[in-house]
Amino acid sequence: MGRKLISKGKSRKKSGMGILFGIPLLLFISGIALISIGSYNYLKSAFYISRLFIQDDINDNGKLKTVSSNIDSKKIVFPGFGDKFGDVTIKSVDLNVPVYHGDREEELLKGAGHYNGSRFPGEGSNVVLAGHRNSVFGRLKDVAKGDTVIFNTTYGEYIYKISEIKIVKGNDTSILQPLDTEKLTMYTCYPFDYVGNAPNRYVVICDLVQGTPLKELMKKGSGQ
Amino acid sequence: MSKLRNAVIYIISFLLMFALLSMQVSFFLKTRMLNGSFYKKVLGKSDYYSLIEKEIDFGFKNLSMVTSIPQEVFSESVSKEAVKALSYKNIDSAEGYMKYKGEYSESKIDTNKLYNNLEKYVQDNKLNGELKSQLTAVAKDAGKIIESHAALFSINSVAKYSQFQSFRRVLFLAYKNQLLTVMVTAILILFLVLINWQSLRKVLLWVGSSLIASSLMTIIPCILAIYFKIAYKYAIDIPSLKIALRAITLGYINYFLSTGVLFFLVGIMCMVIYSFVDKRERTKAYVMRRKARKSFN
Repeated sequence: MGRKLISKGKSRKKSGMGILFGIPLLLFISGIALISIGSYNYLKSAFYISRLFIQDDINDNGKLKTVSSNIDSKKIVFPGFGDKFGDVTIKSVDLNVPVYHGDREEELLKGAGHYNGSRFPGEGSNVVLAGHRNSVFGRLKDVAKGDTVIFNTTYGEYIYKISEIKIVKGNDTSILQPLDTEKLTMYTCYPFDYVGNAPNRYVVICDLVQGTPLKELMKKGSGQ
Repeated sequence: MSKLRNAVIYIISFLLMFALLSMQVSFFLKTRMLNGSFYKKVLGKSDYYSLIEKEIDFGFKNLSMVTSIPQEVFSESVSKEAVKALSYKNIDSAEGYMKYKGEYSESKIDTNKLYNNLEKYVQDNKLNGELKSQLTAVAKDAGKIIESHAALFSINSVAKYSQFQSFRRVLFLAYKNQLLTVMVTAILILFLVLINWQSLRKVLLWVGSSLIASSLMTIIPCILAIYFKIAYKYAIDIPSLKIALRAITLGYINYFLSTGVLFFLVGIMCMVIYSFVDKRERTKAYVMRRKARKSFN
């Protein structure tokens, strides 16, 4: 009789606790279920849209992590946007400037900017670099046809020879167009001593003389 | 009959849970999302304005490179206070637009001082006439640099989309109907009181359950957002914007977490009181029954 009473008391206690925990939990689960069913499509869209703005592969500087691979047991890094990936040297005018991928204000204040819509050295097309006339590309005014330009990148050295120097209008985008052969196009504002928004661009075009095509580097990298 | 009664009580509690959730959201809109003072406060506490200053300086440095005009000519023309005031104006304008109080217009900086400084620079350095003709354009460019950094919300770029207008409408409705959510909550509680009139302690059980369930709906997403560090993962490389979004997101999370915890604690309190009262009532009934049995014997 005593045992029966004790077990009755215990089960009553258990059902009491069950009510205390069960009702809120049941309400919560049914609420979540209703919201999920009612707004599944919206939640799905919101999730995918949020993936555009919230990324896991972002480093502390808010930039996408760079891609690297091993070629000939040497670690070779392909640049992310805003990363420095080489230097351009023209010995004849004592010019040596760092090159950054991207030609926003940030990159142009640090060195020469590699136009994002153009190709990388070794890709067999137009490689476009921009720079300020009163800092990194100030010495471009002294270069001459036939001068050697060395573009030392994180994945190899590319040597070019200046083939053309011209002045174009500020809004002339022909210098940015892709080409069938590899050329290095460097440009800056012109006239060099102009105060204000300079109306023209001073363009130096170079032909590739020496350098490993990227395709070959990639093949080596993948072990083919 | 008893089952039907319980079902009705459950449905009312279920509705009460949503009413409480709506109340949290509605007050969130009033005190956080559609409240200009909130943005001014969190941005003021963060590094937002010092970062804006750096970015504007950076913009001027670039403009100086492009135009060959010394950076000081631009930077001395704009004070920190003017930038802050412009940013406040933009926040107020965005708030007014979201609350249907007026059209949104991005505030413009007064470029007169910029223009005068540029003109003085031209005169001092006896520069050619071509730059003189460009002064307005250069002053405008410099003004744009400031304006683009001082506008946290770029409403103009999204206002043309119907989805944004629907979003705005829904927010405004929720914002406008705070009193309604409070009234609905009160009415639902009143229904629970009326249905449980003979055993009022049960009202505490159902209200407490609704409070706990609604609080979990905000606490769990907040905990997930904190755990996954959502506020720190914005893929934006403009430092001021990143800091601003982080501060705002943390402000939002903080609100929902604190109201959620408050609702949860009140809910737990209701449950504890219910538990005590119920136990006391049961003991009382048991003693009465024993007394009655004894007297019967």
